[in-house]
Amino acid sequence: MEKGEKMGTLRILDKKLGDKQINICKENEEDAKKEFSDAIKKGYIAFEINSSGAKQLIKELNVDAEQIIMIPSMIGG
Amino acid sequence: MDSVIYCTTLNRHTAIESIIRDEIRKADIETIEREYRRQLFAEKLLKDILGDEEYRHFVDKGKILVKSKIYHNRIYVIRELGMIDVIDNEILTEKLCINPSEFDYPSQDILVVKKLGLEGAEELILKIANHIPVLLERIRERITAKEFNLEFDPFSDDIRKEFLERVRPSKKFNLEFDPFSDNIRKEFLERIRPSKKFNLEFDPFSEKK
Repeated sequence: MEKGEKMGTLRILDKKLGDKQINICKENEEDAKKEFSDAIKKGYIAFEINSSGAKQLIKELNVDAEQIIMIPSMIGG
Repeated sequence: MDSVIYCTTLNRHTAIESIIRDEIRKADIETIEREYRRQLFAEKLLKDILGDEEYRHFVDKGKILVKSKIYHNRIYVIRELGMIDVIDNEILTEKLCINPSEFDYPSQDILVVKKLGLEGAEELILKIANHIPVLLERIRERITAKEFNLEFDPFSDDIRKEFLERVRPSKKFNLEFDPFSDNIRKEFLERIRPSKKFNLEFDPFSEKK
């Protein structure tokens, strides 16, 4: 990673391991994209969270995001 | 010879027992460690999502508040266990039942799922969740108990206005629900009234004023 380059985090909720964290940086971009798309295939929902705490539903990985959290799909009880 | 066999068998049993005990001990430690790590990660994620102030509030009060982006004056109350309370104009109107589609998530993760869902995908959550109207249950209980002897239409606009502007601020009533929510009205018209479960002597939704 180059000096001064901002690095975001992708966090995927995992019921066995807690949350899985992947750095989103240039060297790791492909891994992050793969993890993201694998989770989406499993039905996960992704939110981008910016520094002010605002949450936005996203369908594709934004490599410039500060933080992305993926939560499992939900059902009504 | 017999004693040799006996001795070997005994040793073998002891060895197997020892292996099993080791396995159990190892498995237990692994399970405990895994569970501990899982809980620790989940708690950290919850803290990160809530931020220091909101996390402290949650620890003190046991609930997380989420303001609706769709409905004016609506707040969702998320607790560690149970359904999400929907508060409209400071009155509990309904409960939302929603959970991750798979079991065994730590309770902190479920809180995160509900909070993120309501903040980032409120419409989706409302669509997926099972809505449990609070008013209907209360009305049903009270009508059954013959507590009500209504001579007015409780859902008319005039009554609603009167209630919101005069009666509620006076705190004469301590209602825990919003008797005027659209969900309640819809539920009543579509499901309860056609079922003729109630034998009302008036039409609470009559257009006549």
